[in-house]
Amino acid sequence: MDKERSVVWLLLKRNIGFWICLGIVLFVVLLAIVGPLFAKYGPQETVTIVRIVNASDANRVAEELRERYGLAPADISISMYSIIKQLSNTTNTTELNTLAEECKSQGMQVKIYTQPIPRIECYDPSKMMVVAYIRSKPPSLDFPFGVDKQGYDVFSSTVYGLRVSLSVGVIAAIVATIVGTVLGLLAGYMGGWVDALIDAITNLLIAIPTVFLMLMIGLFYVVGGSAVGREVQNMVFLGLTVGLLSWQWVSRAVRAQVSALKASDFVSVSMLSGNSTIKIIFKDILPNIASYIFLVFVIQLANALGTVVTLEFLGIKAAEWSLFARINQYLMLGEHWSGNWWTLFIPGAIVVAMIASLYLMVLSLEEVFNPRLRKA
Amino acid sequence: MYLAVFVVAVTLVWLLIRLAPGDPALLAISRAVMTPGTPLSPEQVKQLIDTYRHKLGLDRPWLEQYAMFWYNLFRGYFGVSTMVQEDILGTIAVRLRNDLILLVPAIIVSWFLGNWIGAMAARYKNVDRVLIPIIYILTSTPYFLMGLLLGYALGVVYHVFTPTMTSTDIDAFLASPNWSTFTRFINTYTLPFLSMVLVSMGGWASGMRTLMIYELESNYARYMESLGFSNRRVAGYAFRYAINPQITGLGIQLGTVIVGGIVVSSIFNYPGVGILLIYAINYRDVFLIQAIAIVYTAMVIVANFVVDLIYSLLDPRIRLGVVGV
Repeated sequence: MDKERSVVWLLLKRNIGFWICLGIVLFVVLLAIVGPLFAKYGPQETVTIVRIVNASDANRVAEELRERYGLAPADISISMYSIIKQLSNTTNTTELNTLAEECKSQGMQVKIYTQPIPRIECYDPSKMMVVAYIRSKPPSLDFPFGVDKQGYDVFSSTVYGLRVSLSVGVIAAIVATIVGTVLGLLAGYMGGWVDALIDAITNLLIAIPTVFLMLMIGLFYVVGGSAVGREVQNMVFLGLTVGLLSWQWVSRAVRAQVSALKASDFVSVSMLSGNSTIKIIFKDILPNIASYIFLVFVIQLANALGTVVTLEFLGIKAAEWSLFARINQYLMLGEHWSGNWWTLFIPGAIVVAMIASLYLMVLSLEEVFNPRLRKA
Repeated sequence: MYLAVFVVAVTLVWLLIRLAPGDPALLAISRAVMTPGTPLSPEQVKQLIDTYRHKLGLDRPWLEQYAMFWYNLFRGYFGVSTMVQEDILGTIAVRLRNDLILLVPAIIVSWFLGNWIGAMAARYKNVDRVLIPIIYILTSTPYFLMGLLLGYALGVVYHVFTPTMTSTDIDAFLASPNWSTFTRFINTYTLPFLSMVLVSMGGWASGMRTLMIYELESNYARYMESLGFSNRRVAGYAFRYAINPQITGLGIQLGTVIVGGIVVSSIFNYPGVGILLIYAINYRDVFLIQAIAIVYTAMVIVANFVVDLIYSLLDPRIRLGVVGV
């Protein structure tokens, strides 16, 4: 046993591809976890630069910003620096005067409006506000992944979106693996009508395109409630949906393994020595298929990520800032071809690298564990 | 068997809609209510909802609704869509035809190409080293992403093909197939076709590679080798064994591949069901989505049936009714 383990370890150590893939996977996961700490903008925040400057400097600052980010004149607006204060209590207009006094004490000028809502506008004639709207910028030092057409920083939206998509995928994979393993164990070990029933459900899920069911569930239960603040709930729900509709492969694979093990001698011995069913399953069968289940989990994770990403593209998203939700918007507007490559393909490349690395990891692990696949 | 699967699937779809929170009637009229310029009083809205509820039969008991649903299904009536004003079935039928024009050749080509490439990878080690990452990257690319990539590269940056299709492109070719309509059709057809083939080819190739390696390592192959058969002959026999699971796999994977094709086609504005589905989802067009789900589920099940039929014709063990082996 120990000898075999050391051989496996030796083979794994020599398999450079495996370590590269593991590195990519860890990097992407890390990006999703700590990325938002480095993101300069929120998931729903457009890139705007606001400078409040002296009136004489306004044009110079605007020019500077224009030079720095290479903006069109229309992307910069220079306006009066003003603060609008509204009254909490609209009937009591005496508060207006106190607010006005406050502004005047800071050296600002005040306009008082009573219609339609009583409010005051404080403005400083010596100050100007320069606002630069940054859109469609290729990757640069300021914006490592560029800025998209709507003015979102692609790095920020990628890391936040990755968080959502990865969470949904991981939840789905865990659910699918657990459900599939339990059902596969039941079917393989119990046999009889349990096996027949589970097999029928498995075949049903294999025969129908479950994406349509996911789509409908997502449409009614997730998108309808994608109000702000419900993202976590949506993520869990979508993960459960995808997981509960994709356990069929796990179940089938585990069933085959279990029924093969059940016929083996050591299980028969265990049965004869009077061990309970639960003990046999946990002590004799599960340890033997644990590594197999782990491989199945990794494959499920890769599959679930692909499904989640496709659902996002179709418009079923857990959060407004899901990784490919904006591509869906572009498509709705018919603007996806005029979009910029960095908005379309940087998040895409990350997801593909992640999924491909997961598959390739499984491939190398299988080669290591399974001598028949090992090539001399 | 296939009929039972269909009945269960359709019942699931029906249940999902029935159990959905929110009133389908309210959803159906929400667009009319939200149309600017026509303020409706609450009574009018209530009346409108009641009319719709009655029209959709939502005010009846469940069992009756279920029976009515099947009755309507046989009549080919799929309810009221807010987006497609004429009958839904006719619209979907045309789009289904267009989708089949895309899906059938793409599935066949990718299956053969993928199996060939997979077998190559299994046979030649130096080819394998290069092919493995390519195969796996292809198969792990989501369909829509491959579509976007190819469309952007070959349609926008290098204008080799046209990345947006119109329904006249396909209709003109079908109405009068000649050289000019054909080039016009191919010009727009190539990109969705190519992106579909590339992605699903990766899946077939990876499966074939593993199966082929197992076969080449098996006892009969070793025996043949030791008898002095050429590598080519041995591989030929191994291929015949390895291809069988791939045919069953074709039936199993069809659902995924077809959904992938729908997604790809939406990117290129291919007049299939894809772009319609995306609009339906964004506008919450419940009955349209229901109709698409039912028709395409039926299509996948029929396709499964066809694959099973072909399989039984190809595999002599099943054809001759041999049990065992």
